[in-house]
Amino acid sequence: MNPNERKFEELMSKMTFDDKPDYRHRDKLEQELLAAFARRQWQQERKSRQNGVWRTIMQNRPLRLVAAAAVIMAVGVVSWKIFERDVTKPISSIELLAKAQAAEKALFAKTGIVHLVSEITVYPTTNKGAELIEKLGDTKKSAEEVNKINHEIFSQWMVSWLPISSLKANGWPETNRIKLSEGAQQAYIIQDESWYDAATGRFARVMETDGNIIFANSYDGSFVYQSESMNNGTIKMKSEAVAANFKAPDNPAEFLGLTAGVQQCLDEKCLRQPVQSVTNDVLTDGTKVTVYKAGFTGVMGEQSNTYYLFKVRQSDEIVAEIEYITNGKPQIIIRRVLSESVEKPDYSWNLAELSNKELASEAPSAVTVASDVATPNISVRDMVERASFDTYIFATDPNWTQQRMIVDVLDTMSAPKRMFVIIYKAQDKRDVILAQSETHNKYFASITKQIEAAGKTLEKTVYPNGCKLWAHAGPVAWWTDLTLRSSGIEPAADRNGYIIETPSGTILIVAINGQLTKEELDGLVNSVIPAKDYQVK
Amino acid sequence: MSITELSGFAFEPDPMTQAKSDPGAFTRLYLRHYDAIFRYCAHRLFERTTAEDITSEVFLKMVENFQTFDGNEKQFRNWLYRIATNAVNEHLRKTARRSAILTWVWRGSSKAGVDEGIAADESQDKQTVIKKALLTLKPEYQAIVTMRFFENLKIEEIAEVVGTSTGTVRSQLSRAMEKLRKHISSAQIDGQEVTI
Repeated sequence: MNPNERKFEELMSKMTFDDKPDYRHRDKLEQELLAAFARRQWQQERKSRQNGVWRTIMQNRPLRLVAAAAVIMAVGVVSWKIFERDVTKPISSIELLAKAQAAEKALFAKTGIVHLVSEITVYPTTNKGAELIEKLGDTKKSAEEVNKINHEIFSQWMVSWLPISSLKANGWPETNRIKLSEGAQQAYIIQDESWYDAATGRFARVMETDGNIIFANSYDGSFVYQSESMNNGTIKMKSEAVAANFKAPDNPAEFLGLTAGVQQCLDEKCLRQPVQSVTNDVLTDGTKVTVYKAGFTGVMGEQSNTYYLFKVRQSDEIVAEIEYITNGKPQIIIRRVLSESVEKPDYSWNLAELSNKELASEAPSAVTVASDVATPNISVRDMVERASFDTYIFATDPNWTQQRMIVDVLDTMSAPKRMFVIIYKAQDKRDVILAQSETHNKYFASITKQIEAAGKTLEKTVYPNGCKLWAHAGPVAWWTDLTLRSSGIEPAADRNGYIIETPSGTILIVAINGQLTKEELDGLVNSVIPAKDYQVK
Repeated sequence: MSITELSGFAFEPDPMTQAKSDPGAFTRLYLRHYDAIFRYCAHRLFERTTAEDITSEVFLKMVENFQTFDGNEKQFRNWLYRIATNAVNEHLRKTARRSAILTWVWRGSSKAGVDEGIAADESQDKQTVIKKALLTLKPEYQAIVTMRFFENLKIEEIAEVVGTSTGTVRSQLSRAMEKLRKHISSAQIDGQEVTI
């Protein structure tokens, strides 16, 4: 440094500036940068995928089961909302996850448009439920083997698919499911992007794999747009003007973002899955998380190896990852990629503007989102026409109930056949659920074989209408709890379950959330008639 | 088993490589450089809010191009200075903005109770004169002076930042100082001529 520079430096050194960093700005920028960083990584990943490279997570994975009762879960996902329709009521949840659910809701409350990106990895599964039920009826098997099979059936009863919630033009939620094509041998990754404008309630959700959009649902202020899966695996968009009383749920997290669909399954009215353990972990990107293991309880009260792992960021209580483990192995992993505020969505709120090129319209994708999970509020005639077996119903609604709804759900164990759940709501809380399906018929036929093979007599009370009431199943019958909970009803301490064998040999599962008098029970069983003979009063 | 495994020796992952895929490492890298870049912007713009805005712009541009950056952390720092220099220069080239900064400098140094429009020259202090003089320089020259005297960068480092030779930096610095000397010398502070 020459003398001139030194003199100048001396002069400069006496200068004062307002140059002390403000760490509020630094920290705010840090969050923006992390969002931009994640977005950049994701864009690069997506670009490489769009070059036609599937990321194969796992080849020739051992086959997994899809259980029939999982469809009952679908009823749980939709039904309680349908009856209550109190969209302002916050979702209750497992206490330990309440903060995470609140944090998820808060993500949508930001000013401007919120953009969320998740990545869903779906592993191949195969439906072995029917095979297991068949095995259950094999009388050559030992009692120990039969118990084991029965336990496997129950374990898989809970398993199956990720509920994808969407919003219909009448403001009701609809449950869809991600489905891999038959024989899929590898895991697939789906990008799930959502945009939400809190000021107007407009939203858009787009799911894509391999550059093809496989699911889309949006609301532009006047219309609801939703993709429809065609039988050949392609999709097309349909639009419907919203009903006059349309009101989207107050909590967008119910149908958008990482916990959409799963949130409702955590609701105590759905399937209460106790948190079995709380541990600390560090994700591969260095994020410190608290891991909540929420699992189902088995027939004998044992912990099932089917459970959820909720990985919640310790820094801000946001759910970073959800793993759905079945039989000890991951079936679905949902990973948060990005949460940010943007000026406008990447797609129009009017998703009908999606071009055929963007939609999976030509080459059917191996991954589809099917909306065949559940159709609420169908008529008795609909039930008769859609059923693959003789359906039954009470000739008159139980006189202590006030509302009735029939829900048509996919019988995944016997897919594509349908299961029908008739829910009778009572003001005195003694709700009645009547469920019937081919899977139930086969399951109890196998049980009957085992009982007879053991030389025991199955006690049945025969009624004048030809129905036979099996011995009282009692409050602990696992299917009573399951049926009630999956119908959105918290089981009461004095709940009861009954099995009714119809004149055509089909099985009706009846769950009652309380005690019936003998007269009430007799009247109920004796009022069972073939649904085709039902007269609208 | 390899020798490194047997000896328990493990290479520390390169922080720059790590930061490209690991948000935690990326955050640490950002935190190590935030202060320097903010100060550089503040030293060139004399105004906190604008300096923060430009700092945000610099780091967001960095994220956009980070995957293609290939160098060590010192080169990364110089790369950040280059992005910041371009961003500030671009900002200052807008005449209106420059004029606003000048006004801000004048107002910031006005003595209380003195009518700014009439007695600004009389109330200016040494700092104001220097700041004003710096703003009269071409942005490219101002960048070099700031990096040299406020950020204490070496001539070689400045050359890397602005993408030119050390000789060019030296001659530009010399010309910049000459202009500053003339500008400041013509100013009167407290009735005294300022010399450098």
